[in-house]
Amino acid sequence: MRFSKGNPMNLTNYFDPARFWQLLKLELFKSRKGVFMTFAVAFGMLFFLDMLLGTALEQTKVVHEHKESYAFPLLIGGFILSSLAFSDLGSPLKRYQFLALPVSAFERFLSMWLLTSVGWILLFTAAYTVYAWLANPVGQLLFSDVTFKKFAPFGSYTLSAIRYYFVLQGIFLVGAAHFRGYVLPKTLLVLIVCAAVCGTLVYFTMKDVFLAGHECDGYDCVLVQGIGVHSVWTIVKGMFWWVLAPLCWVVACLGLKEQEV
Amino acid sequence: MVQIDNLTFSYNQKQPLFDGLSITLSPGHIYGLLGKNGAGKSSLLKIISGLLFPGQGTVSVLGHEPKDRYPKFMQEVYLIPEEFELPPLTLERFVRLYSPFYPRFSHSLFDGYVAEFQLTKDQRLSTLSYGQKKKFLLSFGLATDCKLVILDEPTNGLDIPSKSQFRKVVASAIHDERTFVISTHQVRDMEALIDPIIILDEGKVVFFEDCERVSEKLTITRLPKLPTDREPLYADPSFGGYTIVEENTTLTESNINLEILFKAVVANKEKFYEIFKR
Repeated sequence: MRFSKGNPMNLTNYFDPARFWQLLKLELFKSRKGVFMTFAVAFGMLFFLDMLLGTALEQTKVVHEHKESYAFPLLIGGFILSSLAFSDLGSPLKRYQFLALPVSAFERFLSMWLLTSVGWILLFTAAYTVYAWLANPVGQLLFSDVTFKKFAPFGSYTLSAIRYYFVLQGIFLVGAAHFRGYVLPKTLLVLIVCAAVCGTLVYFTMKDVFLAGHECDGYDCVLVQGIGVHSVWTIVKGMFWWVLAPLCWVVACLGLKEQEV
Repeated sequence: MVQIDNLTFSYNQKQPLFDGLSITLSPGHIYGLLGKNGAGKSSLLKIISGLLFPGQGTVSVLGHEPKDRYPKFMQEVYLIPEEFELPPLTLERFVRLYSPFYPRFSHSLFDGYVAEFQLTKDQRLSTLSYGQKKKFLLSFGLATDCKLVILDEPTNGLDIPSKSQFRKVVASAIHDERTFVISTHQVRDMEALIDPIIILDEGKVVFFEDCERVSEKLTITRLPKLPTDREPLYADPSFGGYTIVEENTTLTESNINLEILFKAVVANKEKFYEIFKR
C-alpha cells in the first residue's frame, strides 16, 4: 500500500530519524548559551552560597551532604530551561522561521523533551558528580572539622528527585508551547491558580473532617494519615505518577501544532 | 499548484478579511499580488504557506493542506516575510544548520547567489543591513530549490542596484515546476517581472490577468489635458497632465504601467470586470 505525500497515514509526516537528528543538532546549538549560563549560575551558587557560606554560617555543621543541594537546582534549573524550550514562539519576528522549518510538531516536541528532560537530568547529574568530586577537597581544606560526603548519583534521594523532575517538567513544556513571552511566570501563575482552586475544592469537600478535632505533631498528623490511606489519594497519586507527565506531553505537542504566526 | 476555494478568514468575529475568496495558481509563473494596506496580501501568503489557518473553505498547495504543516510540504515552500529576525550566526553556519532540512538544497547555487549579491559567507547575519539580510534569505530560499517561493515586499530596503539584481536573480530562478508569489506595494520595481497580476481588494480577488491580455485590452497614455471627446476609464492627475487608462480599441499592444493599472482597477472594479470578461 502506498500513501501520498499529504496522507496523514504517512509516518514521515510525523517522524523521520534523519530530520529529527538535524533538528536535535540545531536545537542543541541554539540552546548552548542558555544551558551554559544555567550551569554557571547553578554551580556558582552551589559552591559559594550552599557549600562555603552555608558551612561557614552553620557553626554546628559536622557533615556536608550533597544530596539536598542536588534536588533544588535540578528542579529549578530544569524548569527554567523547559520554559525557554520554544522561546522563538514568543517573538513575532522569530516565529516565522520557527514555524516554517520543515519539521513536524512531534519532532519539535520530542527534541525539546529529550533536551530538557532526559538530557538535562543526565547532564546535570554528571556535572554535579564532577562538581562534588572537585568541590569536596576545597571544602575540606577550608573547613577541616566538617566531613564532606561523596555525592551518590544513583542514590535513592537522587533518583527520587529525578522522578519528581521527570513528571513535573512536562507542565513547564506545556507552558512553553502555549504561552508567548513570560512563560515561566505565566506557568507558575496557572499552577498557583490551579492549586488555589483544588485546595478550595478539597477544603469544602472535606470541611467536616478538617474541622473535626485532630492532632498534628511534626510529621505525625491524623488527618494527613487519614487522607493518605483514602482510596481517592491512591487515585491522585496514580494520576500524578502515571498520567500527569504523558498528558502534559500530549498537550504540549498539540499546542505546537496549533501555533500560528 | 495552489488551489483556494471559498476561503473565509477573519482576525475578529466582526469583520472577515476574506469571505469566499477563490484563486488558482499554476506552476511556472511569477505572480504579482497587489493590494492596498490591509487588503489581506500578507495574510493570504501566510495561509498559503501554512502559517495561518483558514476559517472555512479549502486550501490546497502542492497536494497538501498547508495548515497540516507536514515537513514534506514545508520543504517545498519558502516564505520571506517583510519583517524577520535572523539568528546571530555567520552565513556559512546558518547554511550548515538549516540546509539539511531541504533535501534538494544546492550549495553551488547558494554560492552563486551570494556572490551575485556581493555577500561573503563568513559575515555574521547580525552585522548585515536589512537589505543584505533580505538578499541572504533570497539566496537561501532559491538554493533550496523549493517549488513555491513567496516573497512579501521583497524590494523594501533594497538599494537601486540591488533592485535590478533582485529582478535578475528571480527571473533566472523561475522554471516550469516553480512558482513565485510576490506581494508588493513598490510596483515599479516589479514591472517586467511579475506576470500575471493579481489585485486583492476588500477581501476578494478583483483582478487576475496576465500582462499580455492587459496590454491587449487597455491602453495607458499620458496626455497634457483630459480628452473631451471620450471618457477614459480612469484618469490620474499628475504633474503637467494626466495619465489615462482607456479600453484598447486597436490591435496593437500597449505598455503596462502597474501603478496606474492598480489605481484604475481599485477605483472601478466592475467596469474592468466587464472589459476583461469579454
